[in-house]
Order: sequence, then structure tokens, then C-alpha cells
Amino acid sequence: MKTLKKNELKEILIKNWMTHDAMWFYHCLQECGIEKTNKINKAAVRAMGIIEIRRIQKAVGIEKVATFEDFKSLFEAAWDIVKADFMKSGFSLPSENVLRGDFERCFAYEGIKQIGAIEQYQCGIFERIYGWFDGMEIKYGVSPQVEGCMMHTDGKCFREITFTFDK
Amino acid sequence: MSPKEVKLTAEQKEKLLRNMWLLHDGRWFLKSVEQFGFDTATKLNLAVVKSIARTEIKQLLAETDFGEVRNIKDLQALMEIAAILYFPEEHKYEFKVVDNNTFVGHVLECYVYKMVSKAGTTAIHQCAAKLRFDSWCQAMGLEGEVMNEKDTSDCNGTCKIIFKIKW
Repeated sequence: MKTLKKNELKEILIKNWMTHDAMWFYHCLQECGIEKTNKINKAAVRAMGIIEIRRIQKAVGIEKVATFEDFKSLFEAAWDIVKADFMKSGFSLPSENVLRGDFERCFAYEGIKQIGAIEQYQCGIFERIYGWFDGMEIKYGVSPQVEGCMMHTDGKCFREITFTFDK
Repeated sequence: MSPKEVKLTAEQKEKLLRNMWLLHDGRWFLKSVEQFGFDTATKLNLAVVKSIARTEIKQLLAETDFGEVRNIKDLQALMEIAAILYFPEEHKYEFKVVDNNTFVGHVLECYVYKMVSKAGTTAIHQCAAKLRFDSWCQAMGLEGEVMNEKDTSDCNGTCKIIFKIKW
């Protein structure tokens, strides 16, 4: 039997977590249809995102996210924890107060397409990230505004988030 | 100015990941209760547990190159790894091989019971442990029976889960 390395352990934990999430989505879809499933999925992931970022914030010892520098430190720490290799996505900081997320591929899009619900699926991936911003209590605007799944409609997916800090 | 350097150990990251996974699962359940009531949310939760349990064991078997589970010692070894990987730190348990066909998991302090107690719903919550371990056994390709005489309403956070396996 092989002993798991730290990065392999991380991959297993995140893969299983995401599969668990997908199972909830799937069973909820079977029980009550896509409209309510979207609603529950988005509410659950946003609520989780808010608590998630606060736990990470506490763990890394950032008292308050008052500046873009604080934001960068916390965001990078969080992304380092939750990003797995199978998620073909990345975030960049193209200019002051701006964060850009680009997805080459999206495991949620691929999974939801497989179960035949992609036409009406509303993205839960960015909902988690917005939960982080809510948890950090920072002001932000998102472009473009997307209702459904951008990977499905445009064959690529990105968002640009602009923050406003008082300092 | 460069971002403030924040460092977490691999153990801290792992703990955060596990906690956030549980948190996300909990949020799905709570949002489902809000939408459909406790009975449907419970039905969904049990269906989800059954599905994810198969996946979590299959993934562990594959990632560790564990091979076939051929006897009670193999089962014990796999259960020990799975428990460390999938149960949170606060879940206290002991494993015991009784004979060549019987393996017992004695739960001393159950993490699910703790969460359900906090929510004040022990009287109506349905324990998914038997279902989870039935799925684990199926995923390992084992024939037999998993028994748990207690449910959340009468377990007080402790129980014995008995695996009777035919080799």
C-alpha cells in the first residue's frame, strides 16, 4: 500500500468535497427540479463561503481587510488552501483594486452538463468567491454580470471584480 | 507594497479543508430544510451519504493502491486510514477485531451527534452511519452486514457499529 503525500491528501479531500457537493446538487435536482436546486445550491455555497473566509482570516491572523494589500494576502492564502489541481482556473491581479478570475475548464460546468441540467444551471463557483468578499466585509462590483453558466454560453469563463477600499 | 506574508502549516490547511467540507454539507442540509422541511431534507441527506460514501472509499482504494480487501486485518487497516482521512478530529472512536468475520467500530463521541445536538434536532434526526458503512463495504466489494442498533434519538453520541463480513 502506498502512503499518501501531502498534496495527494489535499487532492483527495477536495475531490471528495466537490463530489459530495455534486451529489447534493444531483439528488436535490431529482427531488425538486432545477429552479429550487439552483436556489439552494447558491444559498448553501454563499453561506459556506462567508464562514469559510472568516475561518481562514482568523487562522492567518488578518484582523480586518482594510486595504487591497490585506485583501491580496487573505485571498492568496485562501486560494492556496482550496485550489486543487483538477480545477483548471486561476486568479490574477491585473491592476490596483482589481481581481480577475479565468477558467480554462470548469469542473462544475462539466459535471452539470453530464447530468443534463446545464441550460438552466446558475453558477455556484463564483457564488462561493462572492461569499468570501461578503465575509471580508468589502465593497465590490462584478463584470460581466452572468445569470447562468458562461462556460456553456461563451465557451470560456471569466469575471473581473473591482474593489473599493476606504483607505 | 507586497502582500503581508501569511503562512499556514500543512496540518492547519488540512484541518480547515475538512471543517469547510463539513460546513458546506451542513449548509446544504439547512437550506434544504428551509425549502422543503425536515423530512425531505433528511431523505436527500441519506441519498447523498449513500452516494458519496461509495466514492470516498473507491478514491481512497485507488489513491493508496490498497488492492483487494481480503480478510479482517485488511478491513481494519483500511478502516483506520479512512477514519483518519474522513472523520474530523473531534470524532472519537475505537476499532476492534472481534473474530475473523466481525469488526466493531465503537463511537465514543460522535461529531454528527454534536452538530445535531447544537441544532436541537436529535429527536428527529436520522443517523446515516449504517448507510455510509454499508456503502463503504459495497465499494470494497465485501459481502455482509453492517449493524447499528441506535439512532440519533437514543444514542447520546455513542454507539457500536458492527461489521459482519463473509469472506
